[in-house]
Amino acid sequence: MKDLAGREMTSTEKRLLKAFDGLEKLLAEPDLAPCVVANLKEAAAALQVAILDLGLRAERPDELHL
Amino acid sequence: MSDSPYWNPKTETMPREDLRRLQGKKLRAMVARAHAKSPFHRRLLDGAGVKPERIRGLDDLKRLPFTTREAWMECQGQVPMFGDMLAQPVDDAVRYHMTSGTTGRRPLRVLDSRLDWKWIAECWCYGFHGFGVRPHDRVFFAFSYATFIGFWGAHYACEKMGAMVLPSGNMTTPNRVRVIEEMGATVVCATPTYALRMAQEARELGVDLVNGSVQRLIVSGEPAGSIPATKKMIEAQWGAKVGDTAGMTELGTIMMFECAHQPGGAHVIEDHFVEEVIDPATGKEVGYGEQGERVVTSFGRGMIPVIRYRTRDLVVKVPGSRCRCGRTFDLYEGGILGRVDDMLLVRGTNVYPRAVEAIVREYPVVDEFQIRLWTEEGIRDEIGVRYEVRSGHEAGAEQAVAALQKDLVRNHEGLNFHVERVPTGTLPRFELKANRVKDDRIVKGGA
Repeated sequence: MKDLAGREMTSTEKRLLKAFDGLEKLLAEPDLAPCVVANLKEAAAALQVAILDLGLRAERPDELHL
Repeated sequence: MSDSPYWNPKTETMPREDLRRLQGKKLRAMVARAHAKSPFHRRLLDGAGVKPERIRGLDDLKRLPFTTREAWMECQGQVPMFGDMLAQPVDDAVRYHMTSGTTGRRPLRVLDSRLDWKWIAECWCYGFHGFGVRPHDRVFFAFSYATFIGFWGAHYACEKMGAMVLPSGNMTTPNRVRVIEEMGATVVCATPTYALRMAQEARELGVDLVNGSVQRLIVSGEPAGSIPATKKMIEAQWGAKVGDTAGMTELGTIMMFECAHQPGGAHVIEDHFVEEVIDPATGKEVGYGEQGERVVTSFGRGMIPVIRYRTRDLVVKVPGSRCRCGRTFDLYEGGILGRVDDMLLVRGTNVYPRAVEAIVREYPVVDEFQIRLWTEEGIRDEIGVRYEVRSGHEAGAEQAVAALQKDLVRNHEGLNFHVERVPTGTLPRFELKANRVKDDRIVKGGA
C-alpha cells in the first residue's frame, strides 16, 4: 500500500486510514443522535486533514458532507 | 516527534521528486472533482479542451486554464451571491467571509465547510509551528474577528496546537496593549502596520515592550512583513522576532510562512499548494530568481476549488536550500514584493509603494507616513511623502528627513519627491491592511 508520493505506507499511516474508515462507517449508522453525528463529523474532518497532510489519499469524502 | 521543528516532517523535508509526485496525484484528484462538481470550473476546463482523466501529474498543470479574479467576480454577479464555483452544496458551509475590499472593487464572497476550516487552520499550523510557537505560548490576536478572514484560521491553529488564545475583538489599542502586558502574551499576531501602532501606544502608556513577555510577532496582511527595514523597526520596538506570513481570502488561509531561521523569505506550503511564477504580460513561467506574478493552485479547499489563480502578487521564487532549516519547500525571497497593479506611473517613472516604504522605514525618525500624488497646474503629476515624527526623535529630525528626500529621489531616477512634515495624529492608522497611497491626480498614471 503506497502513499501519493509513491512511498510504502507505515503501519501508523495504515491505522490512520482505518480509523477514518471506521468513523465513516459509524456515520452511516441510522438514528444517530445529533450530538453523535456532529462530533463524529468533527473527528472525521480532523482525521481527513491528517490524511491530506501525509498524502495518504487525494479524494475528498464528499458524501459525508464534512 | 513532538519536538520536531517541522509541523509535518514527512512532507516538509520530502525530496523534490517525491513532492512533485505527491502534488501530481493531488492535482489529478482535485481537477477531476472540480470538473464534476463546479460548473464554473467545468466551463473553463471544457473551454480549454482539458479532459480531467488525462491529467497524469504535475507536468500537466500548464495545460489547465488560468482563473482570474475578474472571472470569479463575474460569475458571482451572474449567479448571486457565490457564483457557480462551489463544488459542494451551500448547506455544507459553516462560515461566510468576504475580501477586505482595500482595492475598492466589489468584494469576493466565500463559503467554507467544516473540513475546509480544519484545513485552513492546518496551513496556519505549518507557519506557527515553523516559527517556533508551541503549546505553552500565549498568543494575542490584534484582530477584529469580522467578515475579513484575516487571522481567523490562525486563531483555530493555536487552539489546535494547544496554545492559549488571547482574542481582542473590538478592543481599543490601549486596551490591547494592557492585555498583552497583563496576560504575559508571548506571541502577538497583527499586520505590520498595526504592530508599529501598538508599539507607539505602548510608549505613550509607559509600557516597556522591549523587556516584556512577547518573544515573537507573526504578521500578515501586508507586504511590509518582509521589508527588512520595517521588520527591523518592529523587532526593535517590541524586542521580539518578526515572522512573515501571507495568505488570501481566495485561498482561505496562508500559503507561505517564514520559518524560525528567518531566511529573508517565506516557504511555500507545497504539499497543499502549487505555486507558479509567470511573466504577467506573456503568461510564461519564469525561473528561480526572476520576478513574476504568483499563480496558485490549492489542494485543500473543498467548497471553492482554486486552479491556476492569477493573484497579481509579485514574487521571486528561490530553492528551499537557500534556508538552512532543512525544508525542501521553495521560498519566496522577500515575501510578497508588491502587486502587479500597485505600480504608480509618475512623469514616466515607475513608483512602487513597497519600495517607498522600504526607504522610509530606514529612518526611525518617521513614525507614520503617506504617499500623496496630485496634479500641479492642471497637467503635471507630483508625488510627495507626508510624515509624522516619532516622539523623542525631534532632535535631528530635519537632517534625517533631508537625507530621506535625497534617498527617495536617488532611487527613483531623479523624480522629485516633496517631503512634508504633518502634526502627530494627522495621518490615518490601520488595523487591517494599510493603504498609504492617496492619489488625488486628475488623471492617474498608474493603478
